[in-house]
Amino acid sequence: MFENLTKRISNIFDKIKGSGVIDDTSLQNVMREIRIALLESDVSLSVAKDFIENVKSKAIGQEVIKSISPDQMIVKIVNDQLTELLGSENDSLKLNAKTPVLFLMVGLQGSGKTTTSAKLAKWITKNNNKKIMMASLDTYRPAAQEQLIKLGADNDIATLETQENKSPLQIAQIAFESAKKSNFDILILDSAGRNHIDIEMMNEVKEISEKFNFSEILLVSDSMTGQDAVNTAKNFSEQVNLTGIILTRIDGDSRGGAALSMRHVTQKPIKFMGTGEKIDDIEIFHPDRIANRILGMGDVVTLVEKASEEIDEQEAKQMQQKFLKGRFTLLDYSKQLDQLTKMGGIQSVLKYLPGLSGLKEKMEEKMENNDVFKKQKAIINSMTPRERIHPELVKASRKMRISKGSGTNVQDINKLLKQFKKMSQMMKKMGKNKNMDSIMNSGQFGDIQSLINKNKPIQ
Amino acid sequence: MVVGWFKKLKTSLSKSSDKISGGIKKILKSKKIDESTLQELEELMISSDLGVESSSKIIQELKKSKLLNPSSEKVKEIIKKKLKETLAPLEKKIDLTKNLFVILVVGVNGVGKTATIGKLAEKFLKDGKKVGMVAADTFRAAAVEQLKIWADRTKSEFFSAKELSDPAALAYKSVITATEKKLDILLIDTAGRLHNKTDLMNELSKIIRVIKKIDESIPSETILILDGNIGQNSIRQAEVFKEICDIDSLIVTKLDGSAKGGALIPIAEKLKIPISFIGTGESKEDLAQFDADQFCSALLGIE
Repeated sequence: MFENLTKRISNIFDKIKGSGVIDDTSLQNVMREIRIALLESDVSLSVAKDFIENVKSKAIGQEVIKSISPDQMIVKIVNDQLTELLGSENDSLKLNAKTPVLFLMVGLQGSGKTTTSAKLAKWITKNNNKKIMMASLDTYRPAAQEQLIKLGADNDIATLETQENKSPLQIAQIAFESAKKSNFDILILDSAGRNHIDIEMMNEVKEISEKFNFSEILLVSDSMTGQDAVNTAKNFSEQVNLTGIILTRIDGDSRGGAALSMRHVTQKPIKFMGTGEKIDDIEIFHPDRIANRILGMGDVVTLVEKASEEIDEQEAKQMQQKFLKGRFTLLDYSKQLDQLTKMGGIQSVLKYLPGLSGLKEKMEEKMENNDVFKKQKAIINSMTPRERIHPELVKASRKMRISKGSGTNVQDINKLLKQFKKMSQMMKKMGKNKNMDSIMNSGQFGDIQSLINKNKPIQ
Repeated sequence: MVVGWFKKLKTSLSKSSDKISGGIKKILKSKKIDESTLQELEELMISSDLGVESSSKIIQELKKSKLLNPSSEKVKEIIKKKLKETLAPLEKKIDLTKNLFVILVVGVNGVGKTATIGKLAEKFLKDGKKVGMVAADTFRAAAVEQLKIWADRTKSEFFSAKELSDPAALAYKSVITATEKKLDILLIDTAGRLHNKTDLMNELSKIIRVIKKIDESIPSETILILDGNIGQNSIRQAEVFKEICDIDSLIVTKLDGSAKGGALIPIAEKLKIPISFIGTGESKEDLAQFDADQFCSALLGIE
């Protein structure tokens, strides 16, 4: 998500970079281009306009700070404004209420409510250790109740059995009593998808939302939604007392403008985002980090978190030592490949790094790189332990053997060896560079630890 | 019937056309048609999901026409003319050229593939055809059950397999059986997939590859379903699906909401994919033949 907006905005910033003075005309031009970038990313018109107005008024009223150049100043204002638009910090779920704590999921048809209900239930179970039950209030779409029950069964989440010939409100009541009786901590009610201009259907969900004391009423919305996102968000927030938004399908290549629009219209926080098809593919939404990602400033914090989930710190330190002393072997390289794969492949790592979002695109064009990794792993696995430490031993006949063993051809092996040689040379060079430490400690990457603490998951 | 759906489409699009035509009226009443007016017109079109590029093209058209006293009707006619030039050549009526006519239905998650298949079956049933449905979405929980209910409603033959089994194998077997049973039409429902997921897109091309082994000419029609609520990403979806599986026509769903499906315009301009139907509601009859003239009129609120 957001790749397109990121690209556009970084292009705009590239143009003004280095210009000592930014006059009225060039400011106008920049604002016009940002407006188009926002609109092309599906940010709703009214929201885009407000955004531009706010940036303009801030830019004009701004004292010129000496240490910062005018172009940086604009980048900063846009960044601040974007963060403000997205909401500055993550809002946690309200879980401290009388049990069963009630959640209601609402949204248009096909926005992903049912899948998200199950993902959220799993996430809360994992992170907050609560006993959760789910129930579908969808009496309209064929097999909707069965879908939720199946998702529950596959993921060890309790669900209410299928209710025939009951109204959504009746089902909600039955689910509530059942959850209460069985001492569940949380009950998630998945409502039917509904068109936000369908008065009858909107009244139905309104009635349900008022009948019970919901802790969270979450609007589930497709991140690919177009200009109409403002209307959807507006109508839903007028009818029910929304507490937050969950964005789905951010793993698509959508431009994500709907996120900005809906947040702006409802003034409700975006709490989570769905990042894939699997049950664990849900993440807390961190507005500040997303804003940074949009502006091409990377999201090192999330990367560090992801890495720390997958990488053993001790091992990483050893690896770094080996790196710098030039004692890095193919075996280590193979381990690195594993870790990268675990973290979702090279592209998913690159998108978090400052200034590298463009590179990511190039990589995608160039290679189906996870396939390349698989090949390289196979080659390394077909080597003898000695060859892995001393790749220079691998000559013609050994190459033949390895190629047979790994199902690759000799060119692949040559490529890997060449690439590995280059890498080792580069690392040796880096090892000799005494400035490495100081670069790492320069504060360029921000105070990562404090950011992590600030964004700790819900208590 | 045509009048019926036109009315329906107009009511369903009325919110959007109110916005556009109301907006145009407001702009033109208060000001001469100068640069800033043109810009506002452009923005109005953008807010109907037409996209920046297509909208500014239309604005260029307006600039050329040099209207002295532009009435809002005149401006709308020009906009409509431009839109219609793009869309009219793409109206598509699906000709059931052969038995068994195999229709493959594809699209991203949640656009309404399964419901659209139900509506298509209803249409064909009314034409006296023998219809079959294949639940080749073996991935999503209860997708099979959902299609089964539609099959029962529309008295269609139903083909399914175990959850998580190979959809290509199921599709292959179903085509064979449907031929033996002398069905007229076979509708294949596939799992929703995001177009940027290479693995899932490969799975789709496998389904096509495999059924082509039976007969090179099938699928007889591959239909991409687009959600009318989706913005500029629809263009990407159409581009990528077209590359993978040679889309024969589009169906745009959920046009009974306040979204306009305006993204059809840039898709038509860039990709020239024909459009067969539009989805206008929840019940099984809510599927209408796409008509460019009426679509444009309804979009702009022209009587």
